[in-house]
Amino acid sequence: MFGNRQSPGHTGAITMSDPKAQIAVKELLTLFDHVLEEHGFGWDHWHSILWNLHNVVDEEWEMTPAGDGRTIRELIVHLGVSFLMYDNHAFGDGTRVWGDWTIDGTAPGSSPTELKTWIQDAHRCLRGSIARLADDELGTLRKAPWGEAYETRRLIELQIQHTLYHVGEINHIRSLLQGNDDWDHQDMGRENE
Amino acid sequence: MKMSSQYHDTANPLVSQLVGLLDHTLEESPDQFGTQHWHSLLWNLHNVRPEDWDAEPAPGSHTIRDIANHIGIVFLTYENHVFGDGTRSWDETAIDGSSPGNEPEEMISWSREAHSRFRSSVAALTDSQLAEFCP
Repeated sequence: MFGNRQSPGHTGAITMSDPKAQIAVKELLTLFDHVLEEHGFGWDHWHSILWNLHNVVDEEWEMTPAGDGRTIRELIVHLGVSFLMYDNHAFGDGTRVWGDWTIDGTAPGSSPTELKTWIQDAHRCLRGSIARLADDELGTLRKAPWGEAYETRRLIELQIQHTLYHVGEINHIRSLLQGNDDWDHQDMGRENE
Repeated sequence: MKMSSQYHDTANPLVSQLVGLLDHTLEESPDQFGTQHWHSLLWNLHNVRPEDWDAEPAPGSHTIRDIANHIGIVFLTYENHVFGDGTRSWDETAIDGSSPGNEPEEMISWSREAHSRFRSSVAALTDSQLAEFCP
Protein backbone atom coordinates (compact mmCIF):
# COMPACT_ATOMS: atom_id res chain seq x y z
CA MET A 1 0.00 0.00 0.00
CA PHE A 2 1.41 3.36 -0.99
CA GLY A 3 0.61 6.54 0.87
CA ASN A 4 1.30 10.09 -0.15
CA ARG A 5 4.51 11.23 1.46
CA GLN A 6 6.09 14.60 1.02
CA SER A 7 9.57 15.52 2.06
CA PRO A 8 9.63 18.12 4.83
CA GLY A 9 12.09 20.10 2.73
CA HIS A 10 9.63 20.46 -0.15
CA THR A 11 6.76 22.86 -0.14
CA GLY A 12 5.56 22.64 -3.73
CA ALA A 13 6.82 24.52 -6.76
CA ILE A 14 10.55 25.10 -6.84
CA THR A 15 12.30 28.22 -8.08
CA MET A 16 15.93 29.20 -7.69
CA SER A 17 15.99 32.79 -8.84
CA ASP A 18 17.26 34.06 -5.48
CA PRO A 19 21.01 33.41 -5.23
CA LYS A 20 20.71 33.40 -1.45
CA ALA A 21 18.01 30.77 -1.60
CA GLN A 22 18.58 27.41 0.05
CA ILE A 23 16.51 25.22 -2.21
CA ALA A 24 19.39 23.13 -3.53
CA VAL A 25 21.06 23.20 -0.12
CA LYS A 26 17.91 21.89 1.54
CA GLU A 27 17.72 19.06 -0.98
CA LEU A 28 21.27 18.04 -0.14
CA LEU A 29 20.56 18.52 3.55
CA THR A 30 17.59 16.18 3.34
CA LEU A 31 19.70 13.55 1.62
CA PHE A 32 22.38 14.04 4.26
CA ASP A 33 19.80 13.70 7.05
CA HIS A 34 18.64 10.43 5.56
CA VAL A 35 22.06 8.82 5.73
CA LEU A 36 21.65 9.10 9.51
CA GLU A 37 17.96 8.29 9.74
CA GLU A 38 15.25 8.10 7.08
CA HIS A 39 11.79 9.57 7.34
CA GLY A 40 9.09 9.81 4.71
CA PHE A 41 9.80 6.52 2.99
CA GLY A 42 7.13 4.28 4.50
CA TRP A 43 8.62 0.87 5.27
CA ASP A 44 11.46 1.42 2.78
CA HIS A 45 13.61 3.19 5.35
CA TRP A 46 16.45 0.76 5.84
CA HIS A 47 19.52 2.47 4.32
CA SER A 48 20.57 4.70 7.20
CA ILE A 49 23.24 4.42 9.88
CA LEU A 50 20.85 4.21 12.80
CA TRP A 51 18.56 1.70 11.15
CA ASN A 52 21.48 -0.57 10.39
CA LEU A 53 22.65 -0.39 13.99
CA HIS A 54 19.30 -1.11 15.60
CA ASN A 55 19.60 -4.89 15.36
CA VAL A 56 23.33 -5.18 16.01
CA VAL A 57 23.65 -6.98 19.32
CA ASP A 58 26.24 -5.63 21.75
CA GLU A 59 28.92 -8.26 21.23
CA GLU A 60 28.75 -7.90 17.44
CA TRP A 61 30.15 -4.36 17.53
CA GLU A 62 33.66 -5.74 18.04
CA MET A 63 33.40 -8.89 15.92
CA THR A 64 34.63 -9.65 12.41
CA PRO A 65 32.79 -12.22 10.29
CA ALA A 66 35.92 -14.02 9.02
CA GLY A 67 39.44 -13.49 10.26
CA ASP A 68 40.83 -10.00 10.13
CA GLY A 69 38.68 -7.15 8.91
CA ARG A 70 36.80 -4.10 10.01
CA THR A 71 34.38 -4.22 12.90
CA ILE A 72 31.11 -2.35 13.02
CA ARG A 73 32.53 -0.20 15.80
CA GLU A 74 35.52 0.74 13.63
CA LEU A 75 33.23 1.70 10.76
CA ILE A 76 31.06 3.89 12.98
CA VAL A 77 34.12 5.67 14.36
CA HIS A 78 35.42 6.12 10.82
CA LEU A 79 32.12 7.62 9.66
CA GLY A 80 31.95 9.97 12.63
CA VAL A 81 35.55 11.10 12.24
CA SER A 82 34.88 11.71 8.53
CA PHE A 83 31.95 13.97 9.40
CA LEU A 84 34.16 15.89 11.84
CA MET A 85 37.14 16.12 9.51
CA TYR A 86 35.11 17.28 6.53
CA ASP A 87 33.37 19.85 8.71
CA ASN A 88 36.61 21.20 10.12
CA HIS A 89 38.58 21.27 6.88
CA ALA A 90 35.82 22.50 4.55
CA PHE A 91 34.14 24.92 6.94
CA GLY A 92 36.47 25.40 9.88
CA ASP A 93 40.10 26.14 10.61
CA GLY A 94 41.46 22.95 9.07
CA THR A 95 43.42 21.90 12.14
CA ARG A 96 41.62 18.70 13.11
CA VAL A 97 43.55 15.48 12.53
CA TRP A 98 42.20 12.00 11.77
CA GLY A 99 43.32 10.75 15.17
CA ASP A 100 41.14 13.25 17.00
CA TRP A 101 37.82 11.53 17.70
CA THR A 102 36.51 13.93 20.30
CA ILE A 103 33.61 16.34 20.05
CA ASP A 104 34.03 19.15 22.57
CA GLY A 105 36.23 16.82 24.60
CA THR A 106 33.86 13.85 24.46
CA ALA A 107 35.21 10.63 22.94
CA PRO A 108 33.02 8.09 21.13
CA GLY A 109 32.89 5.87 24.22
CA SER A 110 32.75 2.12 24.16
CA SER A 111 29.12 1.15 24.60
CA PRO A 112 26.70 1.01 21.63
CA THR A 113 24.57 3.69 23.26
CA GLU A 114 27.56 6.02 23.61
CA LEU A 115 28.66 5.37 20.03
CA LYS A 116 25.18 6.07 18.67
CA THR A 117 25.01 9.34 20.57
CA TRP A 118 28.49 10.28 19.35
CA ILE A 119 27.77 9.52 15.69
CA GLN A 120 24.62 11.63 15.87
CA ASP A 121 26.63 14.50 17.36
CA ALA A 122 29.30 14.16 14.66
CA HIS A 123 26.64 14.17 11.95
CA ARG A 124 25.09 17.26 13.54
CA CYS A 125 28.40 19.14 13.37
CA LEU A 126 28.69 18.77 9.60
CA ARG A 127 24.97 19.20 9.11
CA GLY A 128 25.10 22.55 10.87
CA SER A 129 27.74 23.84 8.48
CA ILE A 130 25.82 22.62 5.43
CA ALA A 131 22.59 24.18 6.70
CA ARG A 132 24.22 27.63 6.83
CA LEU A 133 25.11 27.56 3.12
CA ALA A 134 23.24 29.43 0.41
CA ASP A 135 22.67 27.85 -2.98
CA ASP A 136 25.17 30.13 -4.66
CA GLU A 137 27.88 28.80 -2.34
CA LEU A 138 27.57 25.21 -3.52
CA GLY A 139 30.07 25.88 -6.29
CA THR A 140 32.60 27.43 -3.92
CA LEU A 141 35.85 25.51 -3.69
CA ARG A 142 36.61 24.26 -0.19
CA LYS A 143 39.28 22.04 1.25
CA ALA A 144 38.89 18.32 1.67
CA PRO A 145 40.66 16.83 4.71
CA TRP A 146 43.65 15.87 2.56
CA GLY A 147 44.11 19.40 1.26
CA GLU A 148 42.65 19.30 -2.25
CA ALA A 149 39.95 21.78 -3.17
CA TYR A 150 36.56 20.54 -4.34
CA GLU A 151 33.27 22.20 -5.09
CA THR A 152 31.23 22.39 -1.90
CA ARG A 153 28.44 20.31 -3.46
CA ARG A 154 30.90 17.54 -4.24
CA LEU A 155 32.20 17.47 -0.67
CA ILE A 156 28.65 17.14 0.63
CA GLU A 157 27.96 14.45 -1.95
CA LEU A 158 31.07 12.58 -0.89
CA GLN A 159 29.78 12.49 2.67
CA ILE A 160 26.48 11.09 1.46
CA GLN A 161 28.05 8.48 -0.83
CA HIS A 162 30.78 7.59 1.63
CA THR A 163 28.32 7.02 4.44
CA LEU A 164 26.01 4.82 2.39
CA TYR A 165 29.01 2.84 1.17
CA HIS A 166 30.03 1.97 4.73
CA VAL A 167 26.46 1.47 5.94
CA GLY A 168 26.25 -1.29 3.33
CA GLU A 169 29.34 -2.82 4.89
CA ILE A 170 27.80 -2.63 8.35
CA ASN A 171 24.71 -4.40 7.08
CA HIS A 172 26.85 -7.07 5.43
CA ILE A 173 29.03 -7.64 8.50
CA ARG A 174 25.97 -7.89 10.75
CA SER A 175 24.15 -10.27 8.43
CA LEU A 176 27.19 -12.54 8.07
CA LEU A 177 27.67 -12.56 11.84
CA GLN A 178 24.02 -13.40 12.35
CA GLY A 179 23.85 -15.91 9.49
CA ASN A 180 21.00 -14.11 7.75
CA ASP A 181 22.64 -12.60 4.66
CA ASP A 182 19.75 -13.53 2.41
CA TRP A 183 16.64 -12.01 0.88
CA ASP A 184 14.34 -13.63 3.44
CA HIS A 185 15.89 -11.59 6.23
CA GLN A 186 16.36 -8.25 4.53
CA ASP A 187 13.29 -6.95 6.37
CA MET A 188 14.66 -8.01 9.73
CA GLY A 189 13.20 -5.96 12.52
CA ARG A 190 11.11 -3.84 10.23
CA GLU A 191 7.93 -5.66 11.12
CA ASN A 192 8.01 -3.89 14.48
CA GLU A 193 8.14 -0.41 12.98
CA MET B 1 44.12 20.43 -7.58
CA LYS B 2 40.72 21.98 -8.17
CA MET B 3 37.67 19.85 -8.84
CA SER B 4 34.78 21.47 -10.65
CA SER B 5 31.30 20.37 -11.61
CA GLN B 6 30.07 19.61 -15.12
CA TYR B 7 26.41 19.82 -14.07
CA HIS B 8 24.93 23.22 -14.70
CA ASP B 9 21.39 23.05 -15.97
CA THR B 10 20.20 26.52 -15.08
CA ALA B 11 16.61 25.75 -16.08
CA ASN B 12 16.26 22.79 -13.72
CA PRO B 13 19.12 22.95 -11.26
CA LEU B 14 17.52 20.66 -8.69
CA VAL B 15 16.88 17.91 -11.19
CA SER B 16 20.40 18.43 -12.49
CA GLN B 17 21.73 18.03 -8.97
CA LEU B 18 19.85 14.78 -8.44
CA VAL B 19 20.90 13.43 -11.84
CA GLY B 20 24.48 14.16 -10.88
CA LEU B 21 24.07 12.18 -7.69
CA LEU B 22 22.40 9.33 -9.56
CA ASP B 23 25.20 9.31 -12.14
CA HIS B 24 27.73 9.00 -9.38
CA THR B 25 26.09 5.90 -7.94
CA LEU B 26 27.04 4.29 -11.26
CA GLU B 27 30.43 5.90 -11.82
CA GLU B 28 32.39 8.69 -10.17
CA SER B 29 34.79 10.79 -12.17
CA PRO B 30 38.31 11.32 -10.81
CA ASP B 31 38.05 14.83 -12.27
CA GLN B 32 35.34 15.66 -9.75
CA PHE B 33 36.37 13.56 -6.77
CA GLY B 34 40.10 13.11 -7.12
CA THR B 35 41.18 9.96 -5.34
CA GLN B 36 37.82 9.68 -3.61
CA HIS B 37 35.96 8.08 -6.51
CA TRP B 38 35.53 4.64 -5.05
CA HIS B 39 31.87 4.50 -3.97
CA SER B 40 30.20 3.68 -7.27
CA LEU B 41 28.75 0.46 -8.65
CA LEU B 42 31.20 0.19 -11.55
CA TRP B 43 34.24 1.02 -9.46
CA ASN B 44 33.31 -1.70 -7.02
CA LEU B 45 32.94 -4.22 -9.83
CA HIS B 46 36.19 -3.39 -11.59
CA ASN B 47 38.34 -5.65 -9.44
CA VAL B 48 35.85 -8.47 -8.97
CA ARG B 49 37.32 -11.60 -10.54
CA PRO B 50 35.01 -13.72 -12.73
CA GLU B 51 34.86 -16.46 -10.11
CA ASP B 52 33.93 -13.97 -7.38
CA TRP B 53 30.63 -13.06 -9.02
CA ASP B 54 28.90 -16.24 -7.88
CA ALA B 55 30.89 -16.95 -4.72
CA GLU B 56 29.03 -16.93 -1.40
CA PRO B 57 30.94 -15.49 1.58
CA ALA B 58 28.77 -17.73 3.74
CA PRO B 59 26.44 -20.55 2.71
CA GLY B 60 23.22 -19.16 1.33
CA SER B 61 24.33 -15.52 1.40
CA HIS B 62 24.02 -12.95 -1.35
CA THR B 63 26.49 -13.12 -4.20
CA ILE B 64 27.84 -10.10 -6.05
CA ARG B 65 25.77 -11.17 -9.04
CA ASP B 66 22.65 -11.27 -6.86
CA ILE B 67 23.29 -7.73 -5.65
CA ALA B 68 24.16 -6.27 -9.07
CA ASN B 69 21.07 -7.95 -10.48
CA HIS B 70 18.95 -6.55 -7.66
CA ILE B 71 20.24 -3.02 -8.22
CA GLY B 72 19.50 -3.19 -11.95
CA ILE B 73 16.00 -4.52 -11.39
CA VAL B 74 15.33 -1.76 -8.89
CA PHE B 75 16.32 0.85 -11.50
CA LEU B 76 13.99 -0.76 -14.03
CA THR B 77 11.07 -1.29 -11.68
CA TYR B 78 11.24 2.20 -10.22
CA GLU B 79 11.44 3.66 -13.73
CA ASN B 80 8.44 1.71 -14.90
CA HIS B 81 6.26 2.29 -11.85
CA VAL B 82 7.15 5.94 -11.25
CA PHE B 83 7.36 7.09 -14.86
CA GLY B 84 5.84 4.33 -16.97
CA ASP B 85 2.78 2.11 -17.08
CA GLY B 86 3.50 0.33 -13.80
CA THR B 87 3.29 -3.16 -15.24
CA ARG B 88 6.86 -4.39 -14.72
CA SER B 89 7.26 -7.08 -12.05
CA TRP B 90 10.29 -7.63 -9.81
CA ASP B 91 11.24 -10.89 -11.51
CA GLU B 92 11.44 -9.33 -14.97
CA THR B 93 15.11 -8.70 -15.71
CA ALA B 94 15.03 -8.18 -19.47
CA ILE B 95 15.62 -4.82 -21.14
CA ASP B 96 14.05 -4.87 -24.59
CA GLY B 97 14.30 -8.63 -24.52
CA SER B 98 17.94 -8.73 -23.37
CA SER B 99 18.61 -10.45 -20.07
CA PRO B 100 21.54 -9.57 -17.77
CA GLY B 101 23.61 -12.44 -19.19
CA ASN B 102 26.20 -14.55 -17.38
CA GLU B 103 29.50 -12.91 -18.17
CA PRO B 104 30.71 -9.97 -16.05
CA GLU B 105 30.91 -7.79 -19.15
CA GLU B 106 27.29 -8.61 -19.96
CA MET B 107 26.19 -7.85 -16.40
CA ILE B 108 28.04 -4.56 -16.40
CA SER B 109 26.54 -3.57 -19.74
CA TRP B 110 23.08 -4.52 -18.49
CA SER B 111 23.59 -2.53 -15.29
CA ARG B 112 24.60 0.51 -17.31
CA GLU B 113 21.52 0.19 -19.47
CA ALA B 114 19.20 -0.25 -16.48
CA HIS B 115 20.71 2.83 -14.86
CA SER B 116 20.41 4.73 -18.15
CA ARG B 117 16.69 3.97 -18.39
CA PHE B 118 15.97 5.36 -14.95
CA ARG B 119 18.34 8.27 -15.45
CA SER B 120 16.61 9.33 -18.66
CA SER B 121 13.25 9.58 -16.93
CA VAL B 122 14.70 11.52 -14.01
CA ALA B 123 16.55 13.89 -16.35
CA ALA B 124 13.34 14.62 -18.25
CA LEU B 125 11.74 16.09 -15.13
CA THR B 126 11.48 19.76 -14.38
CA ASP B 127 12.24 21.10 -10.92
CA SER B 128 8.57 21.86 -10.38
CA GLN B 129 7.72 18.18 -10.88
CA LEU B 130 9.93 16.93 -8.07
CA ALA B 131 7.24 17.45 -5.47
CA GLU B 132 4.66 15.45 -7.40
CA PHE B 133 3.49 12.22 -5.81
CA CYS B 134 4.35 8.98 -7.52
CA PRO B 135 3.43 5.37 -6.70
